[in-house]
Amino acid sequence: MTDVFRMENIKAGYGDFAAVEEAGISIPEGAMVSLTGTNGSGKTTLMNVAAGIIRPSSGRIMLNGADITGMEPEKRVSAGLTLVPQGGRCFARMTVEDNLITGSYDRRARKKSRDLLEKVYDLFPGLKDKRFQPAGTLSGGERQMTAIGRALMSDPSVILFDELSLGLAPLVVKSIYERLKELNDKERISILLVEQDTVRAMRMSDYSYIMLKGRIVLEGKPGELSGERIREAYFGVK
Amino acid sequence: MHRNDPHKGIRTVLYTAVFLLLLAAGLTGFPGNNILRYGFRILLYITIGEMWNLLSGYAGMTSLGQQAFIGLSGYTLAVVTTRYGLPYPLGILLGLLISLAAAFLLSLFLLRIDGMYFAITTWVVAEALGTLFMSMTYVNRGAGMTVTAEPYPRIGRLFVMALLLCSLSLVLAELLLRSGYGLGIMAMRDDPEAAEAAGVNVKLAKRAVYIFAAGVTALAGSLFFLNKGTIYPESGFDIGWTISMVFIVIIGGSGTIEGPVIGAVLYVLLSEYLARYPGWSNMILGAIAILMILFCPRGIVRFSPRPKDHLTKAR
Amino acid sequence: MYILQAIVNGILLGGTYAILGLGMSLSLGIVRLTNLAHGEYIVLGAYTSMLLQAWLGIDPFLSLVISVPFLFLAGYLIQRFLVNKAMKNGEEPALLVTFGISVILKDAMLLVFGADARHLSADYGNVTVNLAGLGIPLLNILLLILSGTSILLLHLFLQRTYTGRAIRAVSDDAGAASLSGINVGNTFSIAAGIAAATAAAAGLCAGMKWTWYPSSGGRYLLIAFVIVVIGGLGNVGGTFAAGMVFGLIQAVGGASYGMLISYVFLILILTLHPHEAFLRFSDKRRKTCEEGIMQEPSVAREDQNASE
Repeated sequence: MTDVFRMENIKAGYGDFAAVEEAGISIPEGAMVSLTGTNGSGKTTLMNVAAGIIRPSSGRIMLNGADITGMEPEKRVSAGLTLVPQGGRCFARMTVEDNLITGSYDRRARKKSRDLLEKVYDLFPGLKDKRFQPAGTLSGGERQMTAIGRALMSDPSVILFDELSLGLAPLVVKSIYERLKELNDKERISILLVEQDTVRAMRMSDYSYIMLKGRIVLEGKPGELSGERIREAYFGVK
Repeated sequence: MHRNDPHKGIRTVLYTAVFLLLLAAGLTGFPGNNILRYGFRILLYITIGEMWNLLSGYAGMTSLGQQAFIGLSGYTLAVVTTRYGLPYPLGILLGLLISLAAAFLLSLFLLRIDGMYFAITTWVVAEALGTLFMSMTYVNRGAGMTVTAEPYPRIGRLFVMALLLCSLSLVLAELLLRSGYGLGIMAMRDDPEAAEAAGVNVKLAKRAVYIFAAGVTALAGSLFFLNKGTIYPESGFDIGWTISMVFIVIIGGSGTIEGPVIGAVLYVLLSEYLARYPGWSNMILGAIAILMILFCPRGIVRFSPRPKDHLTKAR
Repeated sequence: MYILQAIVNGILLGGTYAILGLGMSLSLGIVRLTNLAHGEYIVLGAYTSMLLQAWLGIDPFLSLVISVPFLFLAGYLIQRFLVNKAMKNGEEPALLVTFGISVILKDAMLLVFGADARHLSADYGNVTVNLAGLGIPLLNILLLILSGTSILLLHLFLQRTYTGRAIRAVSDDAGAASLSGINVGNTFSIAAGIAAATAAAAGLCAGMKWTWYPSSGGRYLLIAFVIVVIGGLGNVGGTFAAGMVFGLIQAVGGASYGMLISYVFLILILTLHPHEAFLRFSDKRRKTCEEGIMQEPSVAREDQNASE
């Protein structure tokens, strides 16, 4: 299987401070990959590097075989990589439908916009009922669904989810996860789940990374990673 | 500028020497009227530039309405000397008091506003005052007023007054910034919340800076109009005053004491030179200011990192 | 009867006031920047119409076909090459850049057109329509129609087009907008271009109604401010209503006191509710992007704290 997305030897941070010391991940085509670690381990920074919000001080980012390390965030979306940021960050004053349509702003996605909208509504029928409501008035779960829908509207080959489950009720998370699995299976969209909760995210995924203090400390298929090794990684006995 | 300045002694001697030299020049009138006239303008522009710098560069209050105090003090001078026939020092003093009072009253509501909106509101206040004076019969509406003084002070005398005002404001500004207050003020500019948490009374510090700057700017305004002899609503409350302050501080470098001094010298020389090309001068000054903001935001006196950076890193 | 007439005219003039405020409302609501040169854009719009009328002999209303794209381009280029760059260093440098542009434009127009008072005139300028016993200038009606149409078109543009949605998205959360494939800098420039384009229409309205000078920009800018503060930021419908209110204040207060009343009004609103007046909606996110779209300080801080 070829990697649709790969980050190699990334080092990045803010000012003199390196939040990511040395990290690399890869997402095979059509795979569901998880990246977990404690709060402050550098996951979000790594995601911001992936999306182009922060430039890495060294390292390389590849998407569909092309080097996108220096690419602007909006061009990455056009190239097929979309990040759903923490909290979703819907456009609060715009209606759900306007939020979704804005997702296919990019020229390539615009042509498919109608079909994509249809698909999003099939995936989250609840959104269709509320499509003319401002996103700011929705519940947390609905906002997250709107954000996912908006990401799907850009017709991505890879979606990165940063702390999807943050602040959501477990049942809501469960149902959203099921939708993601469906997307992954049916649409062959490659997915990276970035979460704090190691167990749940790993159960969902084909391959897992664990990040601590700016480094990937452990990786492997969920079956190969025993609880002991994970605990070892977390408590720094390496 | 820095607390542990190794050259502090040398600097003090140097500055005192310059001051005494200029004082002698003003008292004897030796350099000739033309030079003194330049010197007078430079000193006053240093003063108002430094005050704007204190507001914007140090305290983070970018005002576009300092001309309110220039207009108020200029008009007070004209009213006191012409309408009531009183001596001009009294006019200057009264202008100062009125401006201080106005600044205090304005500070009551202006300080509730931040950043861009502070800038706009100060400007609206100045415009509103201009409009008010334009329609007040007491100040002859748009026809303007003259300043009378018997005998009218000569340029040497005006130069000395400007020199005293300028030196005094520089010394006071320096003392203010070196005091615990000063550090608080700069902390406030960089992060008001953190400053508050660190025990700086942000409101009080801001108010003090605002009123101080207003008072000194008002004194400079009195001297300007004492020299000019006439005042109109458009000249007193002219946004052009702010344009010059912005230019001086941007060119020199905001947040430094030396910056506006160099900026003011350049401003007066440049605008004097550009006066040969009527109509072009403000355009050229504006273009220079924009280029400076875009390409050299720290001004020409400073190539080291901004003090802002130091503070943020130190935190 | 006289008062009734004044009120009717005040409301009709409200259209002109509304369009004066429209561009400011857009640039404040979307770019989150006070464009201090907006008044000069309006004056530039009036001069453009004047020149087109003088050279080509076309009706001032028709001149919009040329003056609107011209001002769009001017606004777009200035935002793109000057203001966007300054915005990376913060709000105040950008504000001062627009201040510089205002000074330059004002003096450039003074140099080119001289200090004379100007006025846009047309044959129908003095025609009065008799409606229910009230003599209403035809011009006021036309101006109301023009401004109403412009505002409606702008509203539809913002609601129905991809670019319009992108503009609203950027104003809501610029960081998230760039993650949705929107080029924030370019969207700012387009929004600034549109704001300048509305100044072409505003210049036409103001120029037909009143005389102007190269230095009239400051006055227009202040009117624009009052309108924006009354009507709410980036709120196209509110801007229209605010224009009406302002027109009434002017009609009741008279020329010079009307202006003074509005200054006081503006200062009062700014003082009492500075944030409510300008930032009625989720603003915290926007702060992120003001510090550069490329930075996410809250995240940075969180990561930093945790590892220290």
